[in-house]
Amino acid sequence: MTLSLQAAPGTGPRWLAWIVCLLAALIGAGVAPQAFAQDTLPALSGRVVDTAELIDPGREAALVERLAAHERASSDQIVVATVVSLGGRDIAAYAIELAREWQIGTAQNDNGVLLLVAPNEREVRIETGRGLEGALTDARSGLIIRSEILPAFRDGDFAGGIEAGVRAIIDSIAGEYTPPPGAGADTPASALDAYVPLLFIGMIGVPQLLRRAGLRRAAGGAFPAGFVGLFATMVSGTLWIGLAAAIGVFTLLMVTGATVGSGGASRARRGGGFIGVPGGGFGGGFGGGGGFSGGGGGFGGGGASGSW
Amino acid sequence: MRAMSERITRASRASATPRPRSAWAALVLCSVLLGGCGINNIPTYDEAANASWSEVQNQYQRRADLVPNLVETVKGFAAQEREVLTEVTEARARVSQMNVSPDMLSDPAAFEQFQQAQGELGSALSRLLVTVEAYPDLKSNQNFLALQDQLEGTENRIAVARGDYVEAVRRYNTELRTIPGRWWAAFMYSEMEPKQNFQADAADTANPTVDFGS
Repeated sequence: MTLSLQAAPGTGPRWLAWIVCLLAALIGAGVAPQAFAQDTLPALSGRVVDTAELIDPGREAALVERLAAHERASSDQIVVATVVSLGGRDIAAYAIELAREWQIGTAQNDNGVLLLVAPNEREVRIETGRGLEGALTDARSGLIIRSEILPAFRDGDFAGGIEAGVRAIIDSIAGEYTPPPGAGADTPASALDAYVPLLFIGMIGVPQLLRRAGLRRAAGGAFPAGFVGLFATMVSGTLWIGLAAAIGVFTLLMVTGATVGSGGASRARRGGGFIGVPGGGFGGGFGGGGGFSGGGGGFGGGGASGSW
Repeated sequence: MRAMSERITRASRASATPRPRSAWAALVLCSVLLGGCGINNIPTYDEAANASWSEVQNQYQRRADLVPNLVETVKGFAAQEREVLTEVTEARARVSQMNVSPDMLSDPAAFEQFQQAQGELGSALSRLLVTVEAYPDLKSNQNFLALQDQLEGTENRIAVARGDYVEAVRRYNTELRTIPGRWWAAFMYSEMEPKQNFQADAADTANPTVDFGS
């Protein structure tokens, strides 16, 4: 008669499953810091990021609508940002870092424009994406700043100056690109919002279904796979990476023969313990998307600055 | 006797089944880790650094192309500033005569020469712009303002391209120096060398002297 340390014949030691999950979570966490890297730059909360409170809400809404309409017509993304302080940095350096962080414009066309106003340093800059440098040349940007924006700023009319500038920018670049049919500007973030509760239900429900169908090993492997998949979706922002991660972890667990909670007693404990904690966290994480996000556009440093 | 051998066989069979499985798992894990270990990093980073360098070249070329137009416009208003105008034209000629290729990235002397020539053109342009300050007609001329915007834009693009290049070279050089890149380099990429990076020029930090004459 031999004593065995293993839970059941055909399954691996339980600690191996946890090591695998921890490894996968750590790999996922390696991706996460990039999402939180620039903590001194404002977040892209919408098409007009008015942290310096220069534009009143009514005019801001009209401006947002005009920018959204332009994006629908041409796929160009124009973003207006006002900042309270440049942090001692040159406006050109700040603008390109912000534009690259927000990734304004589509990845395919690099057609983004950032209008940055720093009222306390009294500087303004138009930062142009690589794809629009032909239509909105440096000289044109400089002209727009000098003739449309600065005169209004000198009179203290910041909202008027910004509106005039945006109008001139749109006139310069209108018709440069046309979006592919069916492309909507506001879909990416909201699609993910819809998926998260579904994924979460799947993460709990699928193992239960498998267990009821009698596939205990698969059920045991499905739970950590689902957890890792959900985590990966959260940090990467795309469903496919999460799906790939979940499938990868599931395959690895099946191959090594390790499962989590293959004993009957742990099932109830696990079910009760996990539902409360992630539900609140996931809901909060995706509610603030606002429906607008950068499309991955690139910037090369083109544009012009002005001061008053 | 047979009972004992049967028991041994049964026991060994029971314990033998998990063992090949975990051996397979170990093999799969090791090959995944090795594959992700960066065997392709060195050529990838090399290409990225070369591409960044092309972009830097591109922007420097763009600046050089602006110079003739700028010189002509300034001559229209301030022809007497012969010295500064000649200086800019000659600096530009020196820059276009230089031979640039990706090989020079690993050659410190060639790289230094390139940086110096571009630095001289940059200083000459700064001096020209300072000289222009004394001519209000020129300063407010639309043509000149457009050229000035383009020049500033190009200088900014040069700065951004240099920044991107510095980052690409940092990644490449780091890969060559750290493990396991060092091993892959010794094993397969022995012809790859670390690339040069931009230093802050003495010319960039020197302030141009302002002399409006009497």
